Amino acid sequence: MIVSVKEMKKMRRGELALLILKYVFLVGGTIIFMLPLVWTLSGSLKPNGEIFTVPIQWIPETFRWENYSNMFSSFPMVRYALNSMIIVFFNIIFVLASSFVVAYGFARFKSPLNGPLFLIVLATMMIPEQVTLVPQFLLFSELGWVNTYLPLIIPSAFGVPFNIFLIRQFIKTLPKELDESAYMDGANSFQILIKIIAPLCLPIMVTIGIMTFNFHWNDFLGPLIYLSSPDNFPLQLGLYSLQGDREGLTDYGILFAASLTALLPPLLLFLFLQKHILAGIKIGGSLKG
Amino acid sequence: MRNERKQFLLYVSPWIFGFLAFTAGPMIVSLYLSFTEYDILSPHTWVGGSNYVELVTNERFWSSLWNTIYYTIIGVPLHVFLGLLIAILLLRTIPGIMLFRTAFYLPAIFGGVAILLLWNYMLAPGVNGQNVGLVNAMLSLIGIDGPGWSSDASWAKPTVILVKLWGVGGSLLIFLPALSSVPKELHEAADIDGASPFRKFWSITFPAISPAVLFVATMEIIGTLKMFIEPMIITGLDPAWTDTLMIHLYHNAFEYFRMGYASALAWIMFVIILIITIINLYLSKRWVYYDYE
Repeated sequence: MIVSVKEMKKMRRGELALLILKYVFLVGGTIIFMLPLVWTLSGSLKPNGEIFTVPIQWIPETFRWENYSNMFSSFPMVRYALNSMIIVFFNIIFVLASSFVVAYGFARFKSPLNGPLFLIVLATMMIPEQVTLVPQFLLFSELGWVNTYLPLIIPSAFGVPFNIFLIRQFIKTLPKELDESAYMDGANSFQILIKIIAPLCLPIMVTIGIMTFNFHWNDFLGPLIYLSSPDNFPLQLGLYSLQGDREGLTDYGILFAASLTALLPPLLLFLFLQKHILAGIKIGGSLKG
Repeated sequence: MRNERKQFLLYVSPWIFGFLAFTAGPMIVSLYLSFTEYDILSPHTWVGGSNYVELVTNERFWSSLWNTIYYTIIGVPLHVFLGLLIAILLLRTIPGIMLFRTAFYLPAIFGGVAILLLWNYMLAPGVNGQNVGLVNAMLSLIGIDGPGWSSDASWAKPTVILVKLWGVGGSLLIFLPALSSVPKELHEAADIDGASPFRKFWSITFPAISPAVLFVATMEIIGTLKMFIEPMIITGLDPAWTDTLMIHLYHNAFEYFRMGYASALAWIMFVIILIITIINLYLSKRWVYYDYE
C-alpha cells in the first residue's frame, strides 16, 4: 500500500481536528455536569438574597461559613447522619456475609438443585419489589417492626440476588485446585471459604460494599414507609421532611449546606476507593454472554 | 457426593429462607389481597375483581401509567444513547482522561433526596429576574428565555427525564470495559479497507458491544418502570403531570391504607414490567450478538 506524503498530512490534520473537537465536547460536558455542584457550593456560602440572582455571582462577596455551623443548630443533622450510618453499617455487614456464603454454595457444590435454584435467583432480580411491598409491610407490622430499623436491615441478611450473582461469577474464576489441595490438607468447606476464598474475593466484596453503601445511604422509599418518628429518620428522609414544613427552614444557604454535606460520604468513598470501583469495571465486562 | 448436596443446601439455605419469607410468600399474599378490601384496622373482606375494575376507571391510574410509559419511551433511549456517546468519547486515554471520566461518572453516585431537592432550586424558573435558579440563569446567558420546568404542564415530564440524565455516567461502568474489549485487529482491518468511522461503529463496534447495550437498556427499562424518587421530589405543579405508577401505589398503600387496591396495582405493574421485558428480550435477538467472546 502506497500512501503519498500529502495524503498522510491530510490524515494527520483530520485526526488533530477530531481530537480538538473531542476536547471541546469533553470540556463542555464536564462544565455542564459539574456546574450544579459548583452552583450549590457557591450558594451554600451566601445569604438568601444573593443565591437566586442573574447574572450568577459565582464567588460570594463575603463567605458565609456560618451556614455550615448553623445547619447543626437549625435541625438534628448529626442525629440524622448517625441514623443513616447505623442503617448503612448493618446492611453492609449482612449483605456481604450472606451473599458471600450463598454465592459460595452456588459456585462450588454440585447438586441437581443448583441449576434450577440459581435460575430462580436470576428471576428474582427481575421481580419488581413493589409486588412484595404491601405484604412485606403487613408482615413487618404484624411482627411489630414498624418504626424500627429491622425492616430496613433484616431482609439483607438472606442474600441479595444481584450480589449473589456477581460473587458467584467471581468465585467461579478462581482455580478449583486451591480448594482441592486444602481439602487434602484436611480443611473443611467452611475453613476453605474463610481462609482461601474470602481473601481472594476482596476486590468484588469492596465493589459490592460501595454499592450497598450508596444504595442504603440514598434509600428513600424504605425509610419513608417504615419510619414515622423523626428521631429515627436517616439523613435523606430528614432533609425531605424539612421540605414538608416550609415554615421550618427558609434559609436556602443552610439547606444547600446540609444537602451538600449529605453528598459527602458517597463522594469520599468514591475518591478513596476509586481503584476498587475500577476493579468492579472489569466485572462489568464479564457480564457479556 | 451426598455430602456435597447437603453442603450445597446448607450454604444456600439463607437465600432459600429469604426467598420464601420475603419474596414468594408475600407475592402469593399480595395476589390474594388484590381481591379484597383491607385497611389494616378492620378485617379484610373479599370483593372479587372490583379492585381491578376500579383501577381501569381511575383517572389517576391512567395518568400515572401514561407518565411511566412516557419516561420509559423517551428517557431510556436517551440514557442509552448519551451513555454510549460519553463512553466512546472517554475510551481513548488522552491527557486529562481520569479527570473527565470522574466528572462524568460522579453525578451517578448522588442518587438520594438531597441532590433532587437541590435540583428543585436549580430549576427555579424565576419571576422578573428574581428567584432564578442555575438552569434558567445559564440559559439567559445565551439569550434563551428558559421555560417554567416543573410548573409548566408541557415541561414537567421532560424535566424529570433531564434531571435523571444527569446521572447517565453510571453506565460507563458497563460501556467502558465493553468498548475496550472490542478486538483492535477488526478496526485495523477496516482502516485498510478505507471504512468511515461511522461505518466502523455500526459494523464492528456496535455488534461487539451489543450485549452491554442490552444489559444497560434492560436495567434502565426496569428501573424507569418502577421510578419513584425523582418524580416524588421533582413534582409537577399538578402532581398528575409527573406521578408514576409507583407513586400512585405509594399514596394508596401508605397514605390511604387501601391495601387491596394497592396490591391489585402492584400486580398490574408486575405484568406490565414482565410483558415489556419479554418484548425487549425478544426484539434483542435481532440486534444482539453473543459470539464475540
